[in-house]
Amino acid sequence: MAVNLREQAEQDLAHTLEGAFALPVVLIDPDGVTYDDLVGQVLYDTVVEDPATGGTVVIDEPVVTLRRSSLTRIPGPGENWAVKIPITPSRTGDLVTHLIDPSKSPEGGASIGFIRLYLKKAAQS
Amino acid sequence: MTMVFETVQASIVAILAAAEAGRYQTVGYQRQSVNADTVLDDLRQVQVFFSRGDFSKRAGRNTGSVGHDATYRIELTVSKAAVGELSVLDNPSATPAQLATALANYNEATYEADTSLNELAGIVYQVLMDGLNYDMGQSKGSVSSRWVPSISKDTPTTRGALVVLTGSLELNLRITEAITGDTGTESAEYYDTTIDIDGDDVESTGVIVDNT
Repeated sequence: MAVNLREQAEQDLAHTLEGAFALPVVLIDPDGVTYDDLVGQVLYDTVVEDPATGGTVVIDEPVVTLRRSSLTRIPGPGENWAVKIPITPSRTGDLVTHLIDPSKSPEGGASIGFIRLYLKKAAQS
Repeated sequence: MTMVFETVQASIVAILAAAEAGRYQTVGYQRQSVNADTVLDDLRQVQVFFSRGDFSKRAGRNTGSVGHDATYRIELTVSKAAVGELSVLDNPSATPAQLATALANYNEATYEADTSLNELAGIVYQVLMDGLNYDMGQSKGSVSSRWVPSISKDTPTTRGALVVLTGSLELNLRITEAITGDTGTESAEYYDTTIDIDGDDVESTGVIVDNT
């Protein structure tokens, strides 16, 4: 029987998200449970269109993409999660703590099996 | 020739800059856009620029001095991150209960930005309306009808990993401009018809012929 292409795409995430380009990611859920065995795609910059000028600008907004099947608990809209990512694109470097942007819901990808998290900087009070 | 509204703008910038005390930074012109990192926390920005001038027409005022109702805009820009117990989140020995409490008590960046802008608007308002600044650094009597008629706040926007919030104050001043004319040549002869009494900078009567 032929492999379902969506199942195949989800299995491919092991390579595209969790393969050679992957970086370590630590999640802390709203109950304080830490998940420190995850890897995923971490992009530090995002390309957006400046509404004032219509031009394209690159902004400092980390985006983390994770394989849903690797998560014990899926971040939901409005939940307070901490996300630790490497300061630089290194598997062994120090991690820096961010929060999931409360103004943006974790983004889709459910039909293939990934989740995209938009991060905000966290400062000490 | 420099008009009075330009001189007054420089004075407003100087007054706000003198009162900074590390709480904000003053910019004496209108920036098109600003990087969120450059206005983070106490780097919040105060931009001062001339916005509008109204000259009420009066008979016989084609030369000499005219009243000028000048409007300046004071634009405020703040940028904030979410603030909370980061030291707890970064502590590998923190318990789940401690982590949960720290996450639950984190203040959103939009709340921090809103609070910061409120504080900045209050500081700038008090500086501009301070009794010592009634003349905006100009000679006594040269500025009148100082008033801040409004403070407004815009919608917070996401700029990368930070939240940016802008607002503005309007400052109305009544000043007096001299119509000296402009021939395009610096050394051209012109008549300064300002009425002036030597040593009296309030009443100003008399005629000066300036051939320089």
